[in-house]
Amino acid sequence: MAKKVKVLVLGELAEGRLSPGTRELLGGGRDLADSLGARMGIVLLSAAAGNTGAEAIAYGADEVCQVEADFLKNYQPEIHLQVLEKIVKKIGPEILLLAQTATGRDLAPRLAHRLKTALAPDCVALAIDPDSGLLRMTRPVYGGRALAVLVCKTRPQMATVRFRALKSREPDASRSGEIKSVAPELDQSKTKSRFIEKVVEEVKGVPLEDARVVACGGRGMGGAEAYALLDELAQFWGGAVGATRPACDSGWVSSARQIGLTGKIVSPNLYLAVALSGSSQHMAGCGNSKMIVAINKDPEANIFSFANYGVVGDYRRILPPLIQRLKQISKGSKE
Amino acid sequence: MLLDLNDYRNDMKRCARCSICKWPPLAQMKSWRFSQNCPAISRFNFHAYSGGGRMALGLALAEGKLDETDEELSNIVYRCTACGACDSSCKYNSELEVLWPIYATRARLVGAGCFREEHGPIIESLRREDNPLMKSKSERGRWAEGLDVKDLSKGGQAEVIYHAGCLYSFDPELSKVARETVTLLRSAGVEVGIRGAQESCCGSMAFQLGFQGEFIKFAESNIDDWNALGARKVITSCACGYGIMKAVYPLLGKKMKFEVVHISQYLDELIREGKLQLSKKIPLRVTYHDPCNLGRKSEEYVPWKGIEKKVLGQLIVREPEKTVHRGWEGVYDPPRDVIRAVPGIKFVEMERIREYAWCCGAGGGVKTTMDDFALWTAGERIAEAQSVGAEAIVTACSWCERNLKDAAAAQGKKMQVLDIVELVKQAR
Amino acid sequence: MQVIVCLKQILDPEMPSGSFHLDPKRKRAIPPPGTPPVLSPFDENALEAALRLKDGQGAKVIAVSLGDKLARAVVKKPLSAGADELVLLEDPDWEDLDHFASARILAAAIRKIGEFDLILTGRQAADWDAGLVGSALAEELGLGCVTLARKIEIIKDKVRVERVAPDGYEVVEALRPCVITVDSDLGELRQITMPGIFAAKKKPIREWKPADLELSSPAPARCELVDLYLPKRETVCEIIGGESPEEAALKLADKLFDKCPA
Repeated sequence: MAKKVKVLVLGELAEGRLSPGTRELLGGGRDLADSLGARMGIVLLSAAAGNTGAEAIAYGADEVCQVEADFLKNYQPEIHLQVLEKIVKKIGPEILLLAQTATGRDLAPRLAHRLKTALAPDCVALAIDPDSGLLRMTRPVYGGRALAVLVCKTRPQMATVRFRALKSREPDASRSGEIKSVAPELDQSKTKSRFIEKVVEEVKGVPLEDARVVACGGRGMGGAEAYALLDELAQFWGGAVGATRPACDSGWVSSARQIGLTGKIVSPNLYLAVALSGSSQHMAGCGNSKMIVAINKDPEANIFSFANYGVVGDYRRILPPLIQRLKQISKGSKE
Repeated sequence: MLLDLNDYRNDMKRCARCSICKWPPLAQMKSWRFSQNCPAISRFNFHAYSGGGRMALGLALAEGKLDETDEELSNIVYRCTACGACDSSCKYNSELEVLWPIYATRARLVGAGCFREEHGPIIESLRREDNPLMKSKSERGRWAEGLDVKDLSKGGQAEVIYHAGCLYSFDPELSKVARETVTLLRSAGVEVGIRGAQESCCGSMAFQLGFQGEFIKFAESNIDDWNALGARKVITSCACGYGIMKAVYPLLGKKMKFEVVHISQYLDELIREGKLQLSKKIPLRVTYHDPCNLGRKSEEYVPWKGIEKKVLGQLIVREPEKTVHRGWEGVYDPPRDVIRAVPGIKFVEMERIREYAWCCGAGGGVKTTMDDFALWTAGERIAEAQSVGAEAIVTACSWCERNLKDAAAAQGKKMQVLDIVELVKQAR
Repeated sequence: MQVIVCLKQILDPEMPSGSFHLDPKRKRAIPPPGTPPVLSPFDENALEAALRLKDGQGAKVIAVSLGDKLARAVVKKPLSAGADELVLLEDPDWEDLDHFASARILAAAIRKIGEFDLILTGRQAADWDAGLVGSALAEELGLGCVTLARKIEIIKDKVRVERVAPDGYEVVEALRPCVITVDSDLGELRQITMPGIFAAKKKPIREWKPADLELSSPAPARCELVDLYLPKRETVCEIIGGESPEEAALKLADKLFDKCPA
């Protein structure tokens, strides 16, 4: 008897391919499915599926449910909800996973409500409890100061997963699986909102999430002009500059550069935390960086509990000589 | 260092309802007219408003007999400038703490979420703009525009830092005093630095209103900043700041690498050392108003923790011995000496002076939230100054000055109010 | 036009770091002594959005708060800010509600209020950071929901919302009535003034208990919180010192160049 699909991923596409978050869900979902001895499925909504079905299988899916329609081009809550509700109910998985993206965080709560189940949003870890067989969902709470572990008594057990919490597997072209085309059922009269347009606000330079090195300034920077120093510092590595929420709220930096629980989550090789206290809300956005260097005049600032290296002092006295010396050594090593 | 009302139970229980808290000690009284020392009970009449009344309320709260959410309780608790006159009077004869149970009561109410709505904007202003006056932080350094002084917000260090204080920084009339202070210090050869727009509140109002968490943030931040800037001396004009830095900052357990000095003390030192010469005659009949926070409230407070033993079946003895802070060690003489150093000045004392001084009425958040009560209290002080024939009240606290000036204007009373720095400037 | 704003009272996210402690039995953070509770910051942004609609369109603003031990100075703040009425849902049974239960109760209260054009709330509460109640509320009431609003405009019978997107913003149009969750990008709540506080004392406050609402018997909680703990941090920070910050900076540069070459 064929194994059942117990783990279902609701995937997203980016530029005609699976989004990085979706690949991660497949990687993590694969582990969960294997623990349960079950199959993993993925639902993909799009206007043009392209090769994404095969891609999904290569990344670990056993079944792909392709739903193609013009009206699925952009995310429109009620449309996606209607379509997905019917499909998910039909498949009846044990576990339902989405990525905590702009779409996921909007879609998941309402879908959970319609499925009469609960949702653990923004999870940083997922594991099957060996005794109960239930999915343990771990998520940060109190601004990231504490971790909560939840289990769900209803089905499906639903979670949205934070970027980089799970690892995608290496694509294996030899994997086999089923690709099914499903016609979406939609009652247009039930839609209550309409997507009009997307306005992209240009953020210069490397996107924060992709930068190898990020320099972030906080409340202690004191003003917008101070960020020029961070630009110069980040430039050394071709990195990006971010800011904490208070700095963005003060209008010093565009909120597109906000790093934190309600902003961008980054995990660069080097994270330079300048004049920021290291509140948990902020650390939630950068805590996974490989190396954190803190510069702060308060020796007891929270950031020093997270940093690998720190210098205590006023950033105005530290950054200029730091930048100069870096340029000097770099020039010297090139000669 | 969070205050716990339970720590003061024994003090509150032992209040004998003798009413001494409502008057300066008998030996200090000079007339019936100016014989009271507590603005709250003088104004509102009921025992609840006196120091003893507050002890009874605090005890009832600690024992769970009062509902924290009661609005009338909040009215009584906050109609009080936390001036400490009750504390000093009581301690003339006893060793009971009165002022700290008052602080602890407020902390208890606030901690339970029972604070007054009027305090909301003050705390919000502290969080967003680092001052309780609802002014914008970016405007804070304006008072020093054009002054030849080191601005530490642009970088650098200084061994002597001048902390102007929120009201001196933002009040257009009083900011002249801050300017004159810096000019005076510079002319006396002091290498002083200011923090400009980066200066932030001392946290005194947050502490006095009972918002301890908020206070801790400001106090710790200031200590760290001054340590990091290499300060050896922090000179402040803000008497409230001086009081809280001396009495409460040490309780945080953070190392303070600097000494806190009030400008009146520093001026006194400079005059004695001959670095400041006062040569112009000022033939004015002046009196000096002791700000509560510079005087009786500025003694370093060491919370007593120990055991009480009953000896011979009836006497209570404390182990270890308790140091009682009666307010005698406040800053009283330096400002008086500075005034006396002004040529031609005629200095007269009011009746209620030094640790038994009558509060100006502004403290404890009263000026911001109950201006009518503040003005009445100031009116009483002005009347006292007039009764000794003074033409001017000299004082050394921005809030006292603001409140006294407002009261003189509102009540049509002819009385000049001078900051000690203004007097010194006129006499140079 | 009538706008309902839902605001949650929470432990102050800006409490001093030394005050944050967990109660392992109750699986909640312990109310810090010395720091009173506050309204969740994103809910204050939602209130600001509602007040802008009052300024612009003359909308009537009704604030609603649900929980237990509601501190009056905290939950009455919307009135001081300019809201017209306040509804308090306070009961010991409502102390630690999960998200779907909160949405049910709020929905019942909103139905009792009766009329509304918009329901606004913050994108997530700053204690549990879940961002579920707004969406669940929309589902309970059978309304559309637009999340992460940074700008809200009324256009005839619809509402035009700019939503925060990772690389800019999206524009969405929704039919009214609907639920909108608000992001901090919309703007901070206006300053509370003393005149505002005085005026608030005359505004009506309704207090409702479970018996006042038409609530069907509660469904069992779907989710169980099995653990709440403080994550262990194993990083040991090496402080790079020097005679002066400038000297430390030079040492840091050498270290960085070594560990993370350009």
